[in-house]
Amino acid sequence: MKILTKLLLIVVLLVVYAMTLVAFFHPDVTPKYQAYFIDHTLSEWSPKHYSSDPEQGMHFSKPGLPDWVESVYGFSFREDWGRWTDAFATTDPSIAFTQPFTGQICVYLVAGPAPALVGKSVSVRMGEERETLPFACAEPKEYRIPFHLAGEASRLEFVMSERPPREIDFAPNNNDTRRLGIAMSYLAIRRGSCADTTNAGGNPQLSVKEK
Amino acid sequence: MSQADTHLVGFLFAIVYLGEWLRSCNWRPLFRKEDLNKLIGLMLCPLGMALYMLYLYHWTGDAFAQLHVQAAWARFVENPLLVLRVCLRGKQWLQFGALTAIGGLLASVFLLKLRKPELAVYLALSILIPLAGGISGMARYLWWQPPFLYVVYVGVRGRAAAWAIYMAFAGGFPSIMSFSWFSGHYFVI
Repeated sequence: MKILTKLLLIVVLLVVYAMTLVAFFHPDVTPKYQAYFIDHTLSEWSPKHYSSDPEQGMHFSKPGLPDWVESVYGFSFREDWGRWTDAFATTDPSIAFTQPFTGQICVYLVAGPAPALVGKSVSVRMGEERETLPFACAEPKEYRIPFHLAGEASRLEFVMSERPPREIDFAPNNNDTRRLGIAMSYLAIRRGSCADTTNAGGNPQLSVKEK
Repeated sequence: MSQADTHLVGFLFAIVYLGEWLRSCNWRPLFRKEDLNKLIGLMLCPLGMALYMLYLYHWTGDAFAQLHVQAAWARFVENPLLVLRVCLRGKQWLQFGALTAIGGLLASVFLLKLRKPELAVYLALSILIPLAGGISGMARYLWWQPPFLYVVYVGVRGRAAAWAIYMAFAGGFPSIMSFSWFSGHYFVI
């Protein structure tokens, strides 16, 4: 009888552990939870949104996100000048918009590369369209990236050909463990051709035209 | 026991328990009456943690929510050796945490030398697992661990001077930590 009780206890414990394994391997969470807490690709859980439109742009140093940006993926924490992308969880950082864009648009971006990306280029993708963003030097510049979107696109993605190294491995004096990619300060999207428009957000500092 | 309810201690203790059991029967468990008792004992070790994971799964859908929620404080699982490397190049308390972890790992090696492999594995994992999440609070992951206290015991046994130094340190260090806690220093968590 005692042995039967012990065997029954073992069976009960096995069932508990089997259930735990099933729960472990099959999380039942929302895509947002998965992206932020498990995959670490979503950069902010519940950002506050401030009033802005795509033409006014998005300052990456400003707390929160503009109305037209739903969420950002693959970005590090906010700094005084803006935000680095960090390939810790994803090599393809992206910005998801609340509204889709279509037709001819111009993406203004003030950005600079991490030391490991100087001299290399990054693909910028919106919908089915893909453009190249060349990083010739380390200084941040204004880039104007034209897109002719045949369909709707609600996400701007930066596709890196390889995972950037950790700063601590690339620069021996640097104690930063992040896998820095692009330092972004400002982003705006205007309808029409890049040639038709003036500087991003009317900001006179953003006068270097790379593309 | 309360630690085993919600922490990895239960799983780690199961490793020690299994090692000790297998060694005691020359690595050939026969599953006789007494072995059945030992098997139940082994299966009870991580039970608290398993039930807690099921509880979390029930409420959040994520059995590992207690680990994943660390993302809210920007704490992610990293290579423990990388964490050590960064901290050794960091400021004083980071260096202290790194040296504490290294001291604990050396104590694990010492336990192997003492032919206590289960305790060595337990201690090493007790250090490496939290180290993967960062150096914060490393002191509390080491100083109360029974295998480490055993190493201390072996070290000071029969040496009055060493015993006195250890007692002074064991009394003084928590005092510093307590003072630091109440004065808002971040390294005490």
